[in-house]
Amino acid sequence: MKKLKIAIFDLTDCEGCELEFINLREKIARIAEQTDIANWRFASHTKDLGPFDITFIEGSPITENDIEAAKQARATSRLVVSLGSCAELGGIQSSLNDKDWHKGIEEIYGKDYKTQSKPPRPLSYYIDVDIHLPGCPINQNELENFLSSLVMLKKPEETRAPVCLECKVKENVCLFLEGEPCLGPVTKGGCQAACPSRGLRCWGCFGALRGGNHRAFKLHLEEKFGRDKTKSLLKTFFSNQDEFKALYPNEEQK
Amino acid sequence: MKESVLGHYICKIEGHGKLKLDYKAGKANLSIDEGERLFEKLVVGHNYLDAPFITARICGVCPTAHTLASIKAIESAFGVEVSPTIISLRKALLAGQIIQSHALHLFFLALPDYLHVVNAIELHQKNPEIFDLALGIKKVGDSLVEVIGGRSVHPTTPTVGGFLTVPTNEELRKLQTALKNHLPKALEAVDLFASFKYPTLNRETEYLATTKENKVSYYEGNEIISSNKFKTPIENYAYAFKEEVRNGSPAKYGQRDGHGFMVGSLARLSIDAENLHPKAAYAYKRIWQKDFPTYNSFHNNIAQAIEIVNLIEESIIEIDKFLSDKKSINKVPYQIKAGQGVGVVEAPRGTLYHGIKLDSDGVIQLYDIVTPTVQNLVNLEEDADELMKKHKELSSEKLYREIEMLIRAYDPCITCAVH
Repeated sequence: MKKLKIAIFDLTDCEGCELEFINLREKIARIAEQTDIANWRFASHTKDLGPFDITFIEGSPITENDIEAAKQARATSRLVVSLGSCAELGGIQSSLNDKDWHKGIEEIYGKDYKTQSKPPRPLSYYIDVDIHLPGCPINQNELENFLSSLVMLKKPEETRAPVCLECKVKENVCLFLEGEPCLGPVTKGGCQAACPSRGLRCWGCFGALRGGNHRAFKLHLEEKFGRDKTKSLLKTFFSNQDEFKALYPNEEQK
Repeated sequence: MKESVLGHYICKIEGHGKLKLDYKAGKANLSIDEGERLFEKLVVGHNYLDAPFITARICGVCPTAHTLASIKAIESAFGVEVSPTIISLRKALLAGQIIQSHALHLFFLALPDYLHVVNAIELHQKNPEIFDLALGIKKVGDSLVEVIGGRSVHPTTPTVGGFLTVPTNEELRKLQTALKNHLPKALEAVDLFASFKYPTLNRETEYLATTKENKVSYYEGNEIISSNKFKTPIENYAYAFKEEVRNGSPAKYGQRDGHGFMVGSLARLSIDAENLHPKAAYAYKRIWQKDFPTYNSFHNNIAQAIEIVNLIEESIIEIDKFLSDKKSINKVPYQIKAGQGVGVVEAPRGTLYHGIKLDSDGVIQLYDIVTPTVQNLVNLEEDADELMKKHKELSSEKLYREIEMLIRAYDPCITCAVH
């Protein structure tokens, strides 16, 4: 049987999610033996230009070359996986609206500076995405299961339960009940409650839970923390998602 | 059809850089192709507690360094004094960060050049001994960060005043055993990196690092010291060097009096190799056997390998200190107040500065970040130009490859540079 040909591309981001491949250590060596990792700039000299069976794209398209790379990768790949929350959701860097983004460029680089970039968007704004692997960063176990499924030519299962469920399984103290603005109830799981298990509230980095009662949760947050804080909390990772847009229909257009 | 952009960046570095060489003019140009991420703007208006979480996302390779620098900036603004045990645990955590980053760079990014493989994963079959060495050292760094910081990429436990949760004594003891077992491995790694023939380069430059009582300190540096005898408190970092904006480049360029300078492992050891822990001192004097500064930036690789030994020793000591304090407090209380603060750590690639201004509610008014790679970029260009001049006899292909290796030796983090 021919080995699956894999590519891993990164657009603008922190590269922490593709680092999780290397953090799999001996397991990545085994995956590499069973597949053909044909293009991975971060870790390899190989520069195969495709076609690929599976392409992981990390980061959000910001520069012209980011956008072009996403399109070219799509054109030459059977399946495209959004790797991590920058690709999947636009990432923490897309929590500014477009007006503030342009203002930020001027404040940080000065009036004379001309940017070649566009405000960050999720990958799906430019290309079709087949499989979603969110997280900031992605979860190592989820990645491992995902890669094992691929090697066995099985479509990986996506988590559909909230972070809360994974947190309960671990019998953690509920940070939300302790008064923290924890977003676990409305956030898609898959992280195995990595943050709440170590005392940090959930920031929502896996994205808004499909089918979650976002409206009720928003009202609840507003009661406890006020409107501005609630919006800021939900905006950090959800700002490009339909769930957020439904809650804030008058929000500055992206 | 447009030219493919799926293979046109320098490989095996963090972030997107393109290298162009002008052979006639003898000039190398490293252009940065990364979107502006605006972290200094992103955090404004947020509560102070959000800054360590958000700024960690600048870099997946050194998020813990950003988290700690951010926390220190806030603590400095509030005037928080954390306990010695918290400092010990943070020092061990930062050591883990530097070890995991150095191991990634040395084995996965730099090593393939010297062993002539396309990537380090190939070593699994071609040279399993070295592959095991790589994984062992990577794992010990990762474990330090996972156990103390909560997660290998983007830590969860560090917070203003201390830690949200701390590991159990048993977990720490297990960690310590693993660290002790890996000391001989780390020395083997120094041996390996000392055995390579590095390209020749000899160009005097200025090295900068942060020190406490004239000794390089990864976590507690309060003064910036240069190899040219310049010295200033860390709060004056804006006067120590300038950040130049170049049109079309989303990364700024650090320089002092119009010239480049270098930070990172090689700079730290060039400024102070006298205060290494015993095994690291042995690695420096007996295995490497040359005195820093050598003014050859390729030797940053060997400096990183020596630092891995030093930091394994340091983390063993700091964990001991933490464990010996029976009534350790994980988090100290503090008061929110208006103020400004600077937080500095020696990150894997060099001195990392976070500056913050807060109002009386603890809301962020201003934020400034200077990353090591920004400080190194001009020096890197100057080194590359020197290679262009001195190594004219090389074919254009070989020279290109050599300059790529130089870039890799700097271990630049372009994602950090464009924050």
